[in-house]
Amino acid sequence: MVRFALVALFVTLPLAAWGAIGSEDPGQMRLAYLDPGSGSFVVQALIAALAGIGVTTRLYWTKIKSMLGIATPANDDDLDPDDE
Amino acid sequence: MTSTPTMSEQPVGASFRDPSGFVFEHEGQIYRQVNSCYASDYAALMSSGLYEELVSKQLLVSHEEVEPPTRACPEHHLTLRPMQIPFISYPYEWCFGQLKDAALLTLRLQRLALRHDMSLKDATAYNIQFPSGRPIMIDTLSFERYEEGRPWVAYRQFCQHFLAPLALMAKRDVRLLGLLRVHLDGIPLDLATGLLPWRSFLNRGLLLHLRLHARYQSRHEGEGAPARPRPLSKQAFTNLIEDLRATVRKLEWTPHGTEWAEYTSGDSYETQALEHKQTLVRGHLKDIGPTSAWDLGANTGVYSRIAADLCERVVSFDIDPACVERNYREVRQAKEERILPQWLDLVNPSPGLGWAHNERDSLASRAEADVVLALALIHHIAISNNVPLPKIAAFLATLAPHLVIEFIPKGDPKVATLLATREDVFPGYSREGFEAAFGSCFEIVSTHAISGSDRILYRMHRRS
Repeated sequence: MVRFALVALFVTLPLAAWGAIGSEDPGQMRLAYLDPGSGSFVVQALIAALAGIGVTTRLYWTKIKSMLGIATPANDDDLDPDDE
Repeated sequence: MTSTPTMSEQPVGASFRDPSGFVFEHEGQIYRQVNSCYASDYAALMSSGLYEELVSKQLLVSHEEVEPPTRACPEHHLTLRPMQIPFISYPYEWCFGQLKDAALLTLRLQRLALRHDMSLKDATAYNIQFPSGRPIMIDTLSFERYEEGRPWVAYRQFCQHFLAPLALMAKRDVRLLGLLRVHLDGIPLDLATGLLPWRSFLNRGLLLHLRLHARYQSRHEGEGAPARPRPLSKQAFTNLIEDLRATVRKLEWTPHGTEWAEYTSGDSYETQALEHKQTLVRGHLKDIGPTSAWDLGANTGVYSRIAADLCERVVSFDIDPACVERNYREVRQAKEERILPQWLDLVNPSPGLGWAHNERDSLASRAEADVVLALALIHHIAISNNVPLPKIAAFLATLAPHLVIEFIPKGDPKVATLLATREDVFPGYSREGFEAAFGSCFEIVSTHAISGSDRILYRMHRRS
């Protein structure tokens, strides 16, 4: 949570810039049979951006750890591998 | 836009929402009709390499394209016969680990789909089954061509079917899985966030995907198609999926402290009695030669594993979520393929649910086993739950033709414990009463006293 807050400070400026260019209409929207929920559609871009901070944070800390020689536990889950 | 099947097909109860096609049964086989509106998505699925990758990794059921077995309706494009699944289970019958693995599989499918420019158009837990121990996707028509910029139409459904129940089980109470019986399209996010302890929102993933998500849902409730939603780039979409994955992975539930999880370690059996019982059960199963077995009150699955050596598949039921979880962890660890651990309260088994009571089938209507094992079980049903022995016999007779059942008399320590705090209103609960009750529905094939105890093991065959 603390890591998230720290990295958020360094990312909000680029985010604001993205916000200025990211408002195009995606155009003709295909309607799925499923009700996606209006709120769920609207909030996704925001959550994805905030989630992107988490993804960046994790990458950042993994790199720091490898530079310091701290081993990151490998993903040994056979049902959920990384599929490189 | 939805197709109407002809009278000669019987679509399965839950298969009516997706216009891409529907599932139907014909002469005991399951088929999937692909409608013409899905033709180009189907072609993309098959030609993009996604189908090959998913089937080779055993993440999606394989299928073959066949001639329609009955007269096809005008919407018909293709008929598929997918890999058959003998026993269908539902998310409200799973343990925590199964739901978590199903969630991670769904996210993995989406991740792999995006690499082939495809995407999941729904994320329902009912699309996942466990025919060989591990989760697999059964709805081939869930994949559609990806359009860059389009937000994930299945995001709400994923959060309600998977993330909300997993968070509730991990952070509040494992029994909250039962909410999925009431909310067939997943737990509403406002309900989930209301029930979760405030500490759970120190978890960033739950804060975003549940709490913030719920807030936006209520804010935009009752609106039609979203007005100018922000486009979601492919990279942002990937980040969203990755974050959901990290959030789900962090959710843990440790099975301990519930009533029966410690059953095998403080066992009242002497070793000799246990070994004798196992030998008897093995012998009965060898004689019966079943293809499939149901083990009721299976605990962590000791006898299910004996049965699994002697038949093709075993469904291993228990009322204690900790036992089902331990059973499933063993299945995962040992990569077992014949055992399906399931949660079941035999006194209140899964009913028919959904539209016209017909979308999700009752437990009894899914019975397809050759033999039922009811070991160390009957006293719980008859005494703790006051179900008369004739009623128990009648219900068990509907489940399978063969029965291997253990009678525990009143003198046994376990039964004495059950009677310790209550009046003994069970005059019919005796060996004679048991044999009379079961004798009307079953023919008693053999009787063995279990050495070192007062318990008796019966093998029975249902009367026709």
